[in-house]
Amino acid sequence: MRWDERKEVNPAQWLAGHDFIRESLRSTDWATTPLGPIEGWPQSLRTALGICLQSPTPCCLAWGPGRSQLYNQAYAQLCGEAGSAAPALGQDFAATWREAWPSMRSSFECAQRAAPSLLGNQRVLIDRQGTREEAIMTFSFVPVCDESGGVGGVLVSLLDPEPAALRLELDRANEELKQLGYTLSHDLRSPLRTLEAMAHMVVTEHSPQLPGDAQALLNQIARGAKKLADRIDAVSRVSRLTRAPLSRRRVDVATLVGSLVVELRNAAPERHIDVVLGELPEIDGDPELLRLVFANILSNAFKFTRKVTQARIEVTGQRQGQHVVYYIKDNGAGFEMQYAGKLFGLFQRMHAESEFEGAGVGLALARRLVERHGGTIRAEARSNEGATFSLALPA
Amino acid sequence: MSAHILIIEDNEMSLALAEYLLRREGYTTSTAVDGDTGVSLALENTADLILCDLDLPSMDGPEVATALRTHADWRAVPIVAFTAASMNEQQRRSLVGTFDGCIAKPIDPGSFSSAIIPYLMPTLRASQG
Repeated sequence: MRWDERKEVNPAQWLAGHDFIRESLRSTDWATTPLGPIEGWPQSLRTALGICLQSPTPCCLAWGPGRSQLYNQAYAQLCGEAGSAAPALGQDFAATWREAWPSMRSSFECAQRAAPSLLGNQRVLIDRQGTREEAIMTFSFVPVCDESGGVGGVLVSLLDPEPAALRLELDRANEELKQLGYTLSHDLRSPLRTLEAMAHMVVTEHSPQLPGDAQALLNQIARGAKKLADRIDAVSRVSRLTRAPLSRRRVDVATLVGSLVVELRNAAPERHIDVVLGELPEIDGDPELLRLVFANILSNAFKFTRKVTQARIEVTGQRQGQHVVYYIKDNGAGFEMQYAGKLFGLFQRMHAESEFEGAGVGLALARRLVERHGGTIRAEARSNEGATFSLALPA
Repeated sequence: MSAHILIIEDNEMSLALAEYLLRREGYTTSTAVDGDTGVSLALENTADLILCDLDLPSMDGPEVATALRTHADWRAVPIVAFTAASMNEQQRRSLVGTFDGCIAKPIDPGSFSSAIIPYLMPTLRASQG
């Protein structure tokens, strides 16, 4: 670089603009860095930096033998610079990508020798909303000539990965999830079931030797272990069902709901419930999974009308554009709408366990299954005035 | 006289539960927490039944069973596998020939002691069983 030929240029002109990167570029004391005072930067560096700052993708100019970094806002965000300071400005590019540098180095140096290169699908750590996360990115390295005709720096652009790489990444994540499911059911559930059995046996077989409060504690241990093991079973089940492939067919919802109502009535023969079934249009969907959706919502309607003198449940449906919306309305316990956000969360309950039994799994599962069908589920309710669930499913 | 049962299981909780349930029925038990120890104890030929976990550190369950069956000093007694409930039919079938039978884990206290009965000579069965 022929620094002797440089002309003084006012950075206020070519670095005009108020985004935090331009402001940081102007306010940094470059005189103490390998790049030297900003007024003396060569035209080649200024032009390349101009391209870099304008680039819509994360982009960085690594200049000189020290690979001093100058970069745009998108790149700053990726590196976790939240929009007020840019401490990586002027730092070594290799230090910013410390973890990936060993695999990135030869491509970078290739560009330093004037040959552009592309490094696909690198696993790197980037910043997402304040946390460092693994991501897959493709790096493009473009040599930038300086006034001497040699390579003054390398323009690095970060690109989103190719679809095939995303697919691979998704498969990997799914595999990990499956593995986690196995760990859950095998390594966590089993010892809990054993713990439950042991505590139960101590109470039932050795109660004469145990003081009453010790028995009560052991009972709690057994119940706690059972509850945890049940929850693990539920998580495994929800995860399995929400990953199962959909086998779509024409589903006769009227017959489906009719048979569920018969089952629920048979399970509680002592109750007198008015069940009104309106028109229930057919839809395309997975019959088994939709059966689970309706079973969960209907059994809730049966359960939460238990304390009402004249229980009434209405199931209706109507076509609305591309969707069929089904309404399941009851006059049961309902809930406070302010807690509606919790309703479809796993293990969330709206009523005390002593008042209405249940693990808080049914609606969480229903929501996931409805969403897998491309539909939505909503609930409207008032405390002690019943609830209406509406399911919108693609027709 | 009731049977002597050797339990080879590395999971302490399962081992403790199995031992408790068997002793409660009047059986004598001995235990090993890895395959190598299990094989040495089995070759002492004092056990009437061996319960063996599949997933053991170092030598695994099928290796234990195979080592015993091919050993010159082995006095054949039934070897029953502890299997995970998640095991599918095909995996279960692959155990035929190596093991005499299997009992699913986690151990169910209600059925465990009766599940081992078929593998014991009638004279060695616990009286309550």
